[in-house]
Parts: sequence; structure tokens; C-alpha cells
Amino acid sequence: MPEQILPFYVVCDQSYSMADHLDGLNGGLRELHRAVGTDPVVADKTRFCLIGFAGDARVLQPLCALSDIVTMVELEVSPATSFAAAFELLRTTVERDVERLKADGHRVYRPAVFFLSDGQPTDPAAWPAAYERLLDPDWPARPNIISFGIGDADETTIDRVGTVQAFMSHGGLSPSAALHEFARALTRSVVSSGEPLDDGDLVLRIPRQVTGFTALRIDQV
Amino acid sequence: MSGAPRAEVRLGDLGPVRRIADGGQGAVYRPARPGGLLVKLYHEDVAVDADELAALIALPARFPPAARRLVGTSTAWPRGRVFDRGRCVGLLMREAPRRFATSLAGSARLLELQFLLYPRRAMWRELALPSADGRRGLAVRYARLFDTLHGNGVLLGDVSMRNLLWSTAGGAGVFALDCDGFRVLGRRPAVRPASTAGWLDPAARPGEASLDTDRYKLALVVLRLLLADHAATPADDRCAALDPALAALATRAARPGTRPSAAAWLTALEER
Repeated sequence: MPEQILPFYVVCDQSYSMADHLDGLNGGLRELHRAVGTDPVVADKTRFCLIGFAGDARVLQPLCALSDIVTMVELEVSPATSFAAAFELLRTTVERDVERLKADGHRVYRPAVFFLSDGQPTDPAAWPAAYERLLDPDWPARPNIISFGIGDADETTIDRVGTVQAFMSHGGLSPSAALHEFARALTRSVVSSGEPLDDGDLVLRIPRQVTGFTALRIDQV
Repeated sequence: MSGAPRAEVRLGDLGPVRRIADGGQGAVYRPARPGGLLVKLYHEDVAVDADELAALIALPARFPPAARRLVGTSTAWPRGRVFDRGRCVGLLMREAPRRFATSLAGSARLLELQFLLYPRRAMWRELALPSADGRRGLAVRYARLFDTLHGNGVLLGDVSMRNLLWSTAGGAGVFALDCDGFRVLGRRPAVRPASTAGWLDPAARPGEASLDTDRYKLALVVLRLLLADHAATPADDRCAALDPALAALATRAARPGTRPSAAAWLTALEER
């Protein structure tokens, strides 16, 4: 049945420096799967895709309704941190997914990307062009990006990547615990965004605060 | 209603609390004290009318015994108010009996009406879903609950596929959550009730709750349950394929002002 769909893309750094904390993130993603996948309304209105990146980028979980899969794929480490590989794969993946959803008759909302990195990009000269292409103003499906930095991530870079909000871990939690909080914030965002408004529309809701992180954009009133 | 209402407690008297659910208006916790009850603490921006909440808590004591029993067994009716520094910040309520929950993917999950209104998915493939007769039995229970509340001057207000639970373990049973949004006919609710997309009376003003809007929502519950479709409405062509008595009620439910009473649904559901 045609529905209104809000796709979420989770783009995670899985470079070697993440090795010691991936358990926290994988555990958090399993909880996300349980919470969203057993909620028929939210699972119906949202879609989820997991992309891991290091020297290259891979779609680890193709876009799906979380109620349709029984096991959440796990992130595994490999060398380097290529932001360009992540943004290029994201662009082609979003493009293909949105076309497919529309061909199935769905009304697709602008995708949301939760981007997470714990290091500085190893391709500083290449990634900005891939990033610009991802956010091409002439491309209606250009995503809203919420970026998260932990460990050695560079605050300026993380701030630049996020289009609607950026968060930096302030070191109050262990990296593993911070990654778990990242996944909890993602879960809250998916669950609250997947609940339609009175008129049936969906709105991307992002957390204002995430335990262990500092929001880099402060609302002005 | 079993047990005397616990009039009021102070936030500090609850002891350590464990969060078990989040909602739009507040979060639900299991407190160390008093045992056997849950506490709902409202978000800071939710205005609570403490007097109306007290009136709602006291209300079932004035119901006839059968209605009092039904409310006691089938609703999370508020049992007491929670105060912090003189302000009402929450309420105590009964937890849904164990038969209204199940285990899905290794975690406890309430058996919300929504599971009966969507196609079966891999994540809840182990969930035992009711047969067509089982669905009819649940519809009878929902209609009876609405009938009892309406007969005692109570409106439900917000109805959704999350705040109504079901069970077929030990016979058909239903249970209503978020009862703090209930109101005495003609009075305002203790807290502004949520309004759930897809469950609004198209003829009503935003936030309006009347006997007719409640009856429209009961029609949605019954028809969606029987048709196993979260988007079905009384105007749906598929309603014509139901029993003639039910199809006739669906036709009336589509017209504001002529919505069938809960008693009319009960009669049509129970006759074969």
C-alpha cells in the first residue's frame, strides 16, 4: 500500500580506531532494531539503511523496514577514514532508493542521515567535492545530516558535515558508552519522526540533547 | 475497582524509579513504592489540572458495581496523584496485567491494537494473532468498554492503536491506557489529551471530544479490527462485505451526528 516514508541512513566510521568501541555501537543498533522493528506504525513509516566506511564504503544493511529483518548487521573495522567514499556511496544509494520507493507509489520525505566519525578524514582534499555533490541544491532528495564526532574527530569538520545539527562527544562518557547514546538518540529520532502529525505528514525530529555530547548549534530565540 | 485509590504521594516518596516507557506527554516508571503500581511523570511543559485529575480518580467509586469492576480490570485508570513542591507532576496507575504483554525479539512488548491492523512482519512472526472470530470477540470487548464508559458519562477522547491493548490468553480481553485523557462529559480533561493522526473525526474541530467523536472512533476500532487494516474507515467499500447489521452501522458511522452507540455495535457484533 502506498505510504509516506521517511528514510534514515546511518553512516558509521568503522576505521581501526573504532575497534575498542564498536560493541557499544552494535549493541545500540540492536536495541534500535528491537524498538522500531516491533512498532508497526513507526516501522511502516520509516526505512533504515546502514553504511559503514573506512578506506572504502559499503552498504551493510540495504534500505528496509526494520520490521522486515530479524537480525541487525554488525559493523567491523578496516583501515583508513575516507569521508569521500562515504558521501559518494550515500549519494548513489539515496538516489537509487528514493527512485525505487517512488516507483512503488510511496511519497518520500527528504532522507535523514546520522553521520558518525571518531577520526579525521584521511582524504582531506577529496571529501569536500563529494560532500557538495551530496548536498546539490538542485537534487530534491539531498539529505538532512546530523553529524556526531567522538574521540579524535575534529570539531570543525563535524560541524561542517552536519546540515541541521552537529554533536561532539565531550569526553564525559567512554567512547563505547557515547556510541550507545548515539544509537539511543537515533532511536528516539526514528520513533518520534515516524509518528505522523494530525494531517498525516511526517516531520524529522532530532534530539536537542544527547547524553555525553555537546550540541554545536545552539537555538537562538 | 480493586483497592482503595491512593490519593496522593510525594515524588520523593516513590523511591528509586525505573523508566519503562516514553510517551508524548510524559514517561512511565516503575517506582520502588507503592508496589504494584506504575507512575507517569509528565514532561515539564504539560499543564496538569490537579482538581480535574482528583475528580477523575474519585469517579469510579460512584459507578455501579459491574462498571466499577470493568474499569478496574480493563483500564489503567489513575489511582493517585504525584506532587512535587506543591505541584501535581504525575499520577499513579495500574500496570496492564501480564496477559496484555508478550516477548518479541527477546524484549517485553505490550500487545497494542496496532499489531492487529498491519500485515504480519518478520519481527513479530512468533506473535499468535487471533482468528476472525477472535477479532470479533475483541471488538465485543472494546464496544463493551466504550458502552460502560459512555453509560457512566465518561468520554475517552483520544483513541489510538497504541493506547488500546488486547489479549486472547484465557479468553478475549482488552485494556485501555492513557486514561488521564478521559473526561467527564461536558468537563475539560485533566491534561490536554493527545490527538492521534489517522484516528481523528473528520467532522470535529481540533481537540473536540464529544459522544459523537467517541462513537466515530469506536467505529474505527471495530471496523479496522474486523478488516485488519489500520487505514479502514466507515466510508470504506469493504464495510459492505461485513454482516448486514455491521455494514448498516458502518454507513451510519460515516455520517456525523448519526454515529451508532457502543450498545448498537455490541448488539450487531454479538448476533450471528
